[in-house]
Amino acid sequence: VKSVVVLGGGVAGTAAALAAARGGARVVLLDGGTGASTLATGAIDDTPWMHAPPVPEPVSAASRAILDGLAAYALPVAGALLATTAGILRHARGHDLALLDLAPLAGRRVGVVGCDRPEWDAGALARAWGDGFTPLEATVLRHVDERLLPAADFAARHDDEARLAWLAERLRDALARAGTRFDALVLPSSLGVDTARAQALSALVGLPVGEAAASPGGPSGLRFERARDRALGAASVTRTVGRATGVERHVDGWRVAREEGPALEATAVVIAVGGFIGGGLEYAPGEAAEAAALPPASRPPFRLTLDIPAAKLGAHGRPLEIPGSLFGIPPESLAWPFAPDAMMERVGVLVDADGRATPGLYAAGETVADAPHTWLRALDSGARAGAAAALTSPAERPSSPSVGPASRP
Amino acid sequence: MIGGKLASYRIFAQELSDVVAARTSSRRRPAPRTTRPLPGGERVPDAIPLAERYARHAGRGTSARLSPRFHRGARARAQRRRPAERDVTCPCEPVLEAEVRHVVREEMARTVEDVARRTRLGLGACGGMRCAARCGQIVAEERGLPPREGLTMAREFLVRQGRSRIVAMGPEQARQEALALAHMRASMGET
Repeated sequence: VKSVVVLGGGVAGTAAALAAARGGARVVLLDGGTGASTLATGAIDDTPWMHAPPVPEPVSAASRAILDGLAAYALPVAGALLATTAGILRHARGHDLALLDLAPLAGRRVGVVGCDRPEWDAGALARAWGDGFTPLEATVLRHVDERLLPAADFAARHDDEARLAWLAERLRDALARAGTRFDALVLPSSLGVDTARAQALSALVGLPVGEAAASPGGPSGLRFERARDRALGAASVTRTVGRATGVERHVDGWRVAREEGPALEATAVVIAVGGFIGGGLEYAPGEAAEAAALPPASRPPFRLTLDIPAAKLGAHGRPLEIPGSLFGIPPESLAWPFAPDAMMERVGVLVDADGRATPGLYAAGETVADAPHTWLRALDSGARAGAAAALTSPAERPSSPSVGPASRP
Repeated sequence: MIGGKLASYRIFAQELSDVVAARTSSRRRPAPRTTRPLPGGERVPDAIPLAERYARHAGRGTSARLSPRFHRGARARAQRRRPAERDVTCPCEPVLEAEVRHVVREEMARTVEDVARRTRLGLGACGGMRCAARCGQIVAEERGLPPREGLTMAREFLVRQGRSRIVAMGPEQARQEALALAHMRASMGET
């Protein structure tokens, strides 16, 4: 049986593990903590949303299979329209099931449910979202602490059936008192952590009810983790908590060294350790290490935090190379806000269309060079890399000078 | 004159006008009133009862951090107006909604950046990620502008903050910067 080790338990790593398991491989997922994937706002994008084409691109069958496996996301054919707590209506390719999709509600009257929490001002949000949004006075906090409780803890309270029924009753009361007809209700991040409770609540209230897309770091990231754990369990993927320290070629494939525990051996390895946020990539300028060594060394200032000699870092499709001047690297080339070509958005492991860095070694998600840092792209690259990794045959094993064919018995 | 705090502008002005008066042998020496309180600083309120009042609403830690700011009398009085305005807009520093409204109404703040300069909103640990959009909404509302203008102001503020951080970016700050970029993109896009 082929064996695949996936490094990273975010969206890309999860997709890779599920795809490799579907491909018949024995899969171990090494998870050092979920990085950028926990920053999910509940919106699912394939391109940065402000650049998204009006007609969304079709989602690959492989990605769709992974999404079905996670059973936590909706992917409407025509795309979704989401309200955000920053006061914007934005398009998205899909959404976390807890969120309210406004696309089918064009021209309808949407109630913005009042909630005395710091991130939520129903009046201001209704004005910012514009026509069709009306504040609706309601009681949604049941206990004093809920005013200041972190959003995820507040959302977790609605995992409880009785509490959800209580909320539904309060919303029905509010609708009855309002006197006018509402076609849907939008709430702050609150509808469950274990699973999205928007459908259950909608059924109880008799109207579509859902969350607005919140700032990163809310309950949507936790809902992803719960959905991931269920899907990995169902696919019999072994999930191990820990961090890899190095990946090296080995007689029958690859060997992954870990911080703790024996090394893992596999026919193929998928690196989905994340970008800067997840801790997979690091900015390590020469100046930081050797302040005296000026002019700046020509050594590129980015590196993988994991020791993998076979993985080549690059950007703009080329091996990594940033010419320094006497004054160092120009800051605008590193991380200028909203500059699409800034290195922080482009640097990563160079791979082919299947996510292959070198035979048997794959990369996915934000670890990959030149990939837009969006949820659905991460999922798609993971699905492709995982499927390809499961097909890696030992015949494809890389030859290396240290462990070449001649050294084998 | 470059730099300086608002509180010392009038002293600068007095010294400079003395120099100009000496050079031009003008007999009319202007008299800047350096002892007149700046807007918001007319009265020194009793900080402790005020802090206690907010402790019930915003939590004890928040109120403890707030109390040193209450020496700006008018601003503290303004915070009693409406209960809803006691909401914390900037959780890191922390700045109340009433303070944001007050600096727009009384202290000539016109943008999110102006509010930041007067209250330290958005200059704390999260760099404005949690408060800039809300502050923009409040400023736009106070000025009678469409909400989109508020968002534009918030974005301009965050971009400026980002640019000033990147020039001194090190390995640790790089992770933080990536997080800030992801946050900005998620909540306000590039419009």
